[in-house]
Amino acid sequence: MSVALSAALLILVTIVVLLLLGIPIGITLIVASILAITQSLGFSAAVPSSALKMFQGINIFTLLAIPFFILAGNIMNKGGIALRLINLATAMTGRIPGSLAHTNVVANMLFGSVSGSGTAAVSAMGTIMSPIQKEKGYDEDFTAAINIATAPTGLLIPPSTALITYALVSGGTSVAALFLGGILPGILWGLSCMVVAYFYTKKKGYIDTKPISFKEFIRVTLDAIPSLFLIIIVIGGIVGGIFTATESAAFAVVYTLLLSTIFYKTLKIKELYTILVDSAKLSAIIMFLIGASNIMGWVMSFTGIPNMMADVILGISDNPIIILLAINLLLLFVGTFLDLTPAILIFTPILLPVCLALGMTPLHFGIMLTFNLCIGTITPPVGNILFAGIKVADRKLEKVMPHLLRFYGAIFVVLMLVTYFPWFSSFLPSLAGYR
Amino acid sequence: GCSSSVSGEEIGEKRIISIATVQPENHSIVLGLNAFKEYVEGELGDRIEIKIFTNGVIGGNSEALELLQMGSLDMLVTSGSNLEAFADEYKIFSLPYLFKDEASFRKVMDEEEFVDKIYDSTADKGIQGVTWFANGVNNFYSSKKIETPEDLKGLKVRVQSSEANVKMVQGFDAAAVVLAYGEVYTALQNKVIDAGTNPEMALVNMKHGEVAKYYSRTEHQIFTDMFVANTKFLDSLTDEEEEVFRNAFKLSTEVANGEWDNLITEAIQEATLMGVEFVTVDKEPFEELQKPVKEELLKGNPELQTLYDIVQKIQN
Amino acid sequence: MEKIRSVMDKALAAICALLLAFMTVLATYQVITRYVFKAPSTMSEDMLSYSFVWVSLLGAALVFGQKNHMRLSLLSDKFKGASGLVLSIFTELLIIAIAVIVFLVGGIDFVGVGALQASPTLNITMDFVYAILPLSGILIIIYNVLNIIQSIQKFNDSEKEELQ
Ligand code: NA
Ligand code: NA
Repeated sequence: MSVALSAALLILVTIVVLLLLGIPIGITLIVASILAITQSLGFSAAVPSSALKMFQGINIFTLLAIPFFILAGNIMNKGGIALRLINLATAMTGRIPGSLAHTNVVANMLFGSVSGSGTAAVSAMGTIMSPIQKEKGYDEDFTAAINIATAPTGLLIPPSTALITYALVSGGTSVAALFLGGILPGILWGLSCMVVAYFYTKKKGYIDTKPISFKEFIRVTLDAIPSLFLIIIVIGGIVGGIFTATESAAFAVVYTLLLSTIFYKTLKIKELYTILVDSAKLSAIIMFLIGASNIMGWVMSFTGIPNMMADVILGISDNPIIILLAINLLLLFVGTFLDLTPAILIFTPILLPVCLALGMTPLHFGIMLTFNLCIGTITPPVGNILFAGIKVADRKLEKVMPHLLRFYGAIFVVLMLVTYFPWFSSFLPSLAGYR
Repeated sequence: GCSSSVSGEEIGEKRIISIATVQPENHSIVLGLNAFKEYVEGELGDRIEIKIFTNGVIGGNSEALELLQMGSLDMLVTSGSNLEAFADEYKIFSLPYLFKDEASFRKVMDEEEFVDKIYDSTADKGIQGVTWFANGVNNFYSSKKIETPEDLKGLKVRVQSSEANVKMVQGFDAAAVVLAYGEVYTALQNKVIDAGTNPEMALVNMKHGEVAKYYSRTEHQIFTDMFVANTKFLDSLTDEEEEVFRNAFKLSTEVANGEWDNLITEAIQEATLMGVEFVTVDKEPFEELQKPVKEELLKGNPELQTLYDIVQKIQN
Repeated sequence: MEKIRSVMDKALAAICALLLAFMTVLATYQVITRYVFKAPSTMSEDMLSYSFVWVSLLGAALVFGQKNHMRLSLLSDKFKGASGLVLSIFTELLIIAIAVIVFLVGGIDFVGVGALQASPTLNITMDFVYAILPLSGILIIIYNVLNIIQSIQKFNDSEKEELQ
């Protein structure tokens, strides 16, 4: 047996067993890595090198954007910004049948985008939107389903910590390019769900709110603009070369802080301490995983696993279309039981070389991968957003599931578009000069 | 069986020697390393196998150097500037106009009197230099034609983060902007910076030639890449093996530098097709402006003086 | 016992909050120096990265104390009673093993290597920065020992309740 094969099997078996036992994912990765590298490097060199890989895996300037965006998102969640974005979404979708459902989708895209958190979006929208929809006679299971189905859009529409993580593990794909690349797929995801909702609500005869007046439309828009301005600061700042992704994230913190303490006056300075601690903890959870994955990435390279996996996957078929489909099915399967961040960290080093060999760009692959794994956040058995959405709506999974299946279908269609037509992920970046 | 113990002392077991670089497979340095591998395995193939890790898969700059110190890596090719954290001697290369030109640079690097001091400077840290690779000449490029030092005045010039680089740019009355290499293309395009400073390869590999149409041969800095080894690993070689390795080091440098020259020629051809104009300048006024900068840097780093004197002796 | 935990929790939370606030200020300052003073700050980049690793690893230790790291709880939550206790002790012991092997022992070796290397822009050797690895290792070990004691106490309490 080759070194690569025996190391790969050892890693696979260790991960499956320890994950099922409920061992923290980071610890699982480190244990598997040390077992696999000891074979070819010896224990005495493996141990200090793992320590080094843990430290240096986190000691990366680009990653600083993650705690900053988390902090900015947490400030926003406390800052009454969700309500303003819902008002705007209502104004935008008021004339479509089933407008409340569409409001929910658009509000998820807007709020998920600025807050950067799918679970924050699903909870905020579920809390505010579900009672209104119930009052208008909407099926509550349907309401929960559309809220859940569209909450991950904010993970693709920038700023996005998932895309920053990918930028890192893919060996320095431009964060700015990825941010731009995520916009169209994220919007398409939302639109595809709106199409499903359109036909469903039309059949059910849900006609609700009367369209608002033009004057009201202007007022609501003006009220929401400062919140949306965050996206412009971040994207404009990075693409315009005013600052790096990391610096833009720090500015996002300063901006949201000023917005919610001085302008909206919804955040008290006292609450800031709790927000800082919570943000540091959440970012530490992600960073510990990133450090652990850096150990595993090194072990995999050293033992030649990515090359071996590439040979195996490329050996499936001569047809790139079939290989890509196989990769997508693998990722969808992975996404059902693994969370977004660890899945990106583990599967990028394995699948990126394959997709490069198929002629994909790192940008295109990154968007496809992230899109695919975002679906995993709303599928059982492991799905942060799914369960947060079910909980906040107080529904049962088996009742919501039939509605969700329809949305899965629509999202899968978009996934296929994103996979086979690079244009969707490369068009906006190419306008800004990224190739 | 799948046994592959490290020690490799058992009979019939090959000792595996790992070498890492951040460069891709088609880079001149990797071609040099391939020649190294071929030669060593040709001579000692019964007991030694060489594994080359390209594309930085083993780790980024300081990371790979630390792995080397810990013995997880046997050898490594890294840029001289990454070694500045381990020995001040490497700062000599960032002095502006240290070398007269590239030929002079190569002449100095071939002299043991100079280069052994560089190789040995990190030995107490567990890192031994074994040979060097050409890394090109830094020139300015911009969408503005730079022919005299006056043309540089007031421009925003991107540099890598180091004291010497910032001072060098300020010496031309230009503003230094510290930016990641990967962001230079868009920064040039959006006018966040007006000029960059890199060897010709950047025009083609990073497509900087699309957004900077003038490449002016100011030749203000010449950097080197270094082939380094873990000291304990080198000490473990037998006399016979050491002899083979020494020949292989020399060969790798010859091959890599030859390939580098080819790559530069190709890059110039390709950049010309992209519409880049290569501007020959009178270097003297540029050099003149950098004299006080050079003196100031030498004064701030007195340990560089001896090395500086040796360089002057060799090239004059 | 719980006194130790509560002191550690409060201290770590305060340090993490301060570091994160400091990082935000520093990153903002870096942009301002570049645009307002036209002089790039060469020092703040390293300072930011190091603070970031510190806050991440201290935060990670804190989260180990609260058993809040990402994991798959699907199957393991089915273990109740004595088997649940065994599994949770096994989990904590495995974490302690990694904390000892990688963070403490490996970390001390790594600190040794750091002593030979100067920070590119700050006037220190890297061992001071790398010291966070063994430090967080010790914190993780303490937290996990406390977790084991807590699990056993909880188990004993629930046994007693059942008997009554
Ligand atoms: Na987002
Ligand atoms: Na899932």
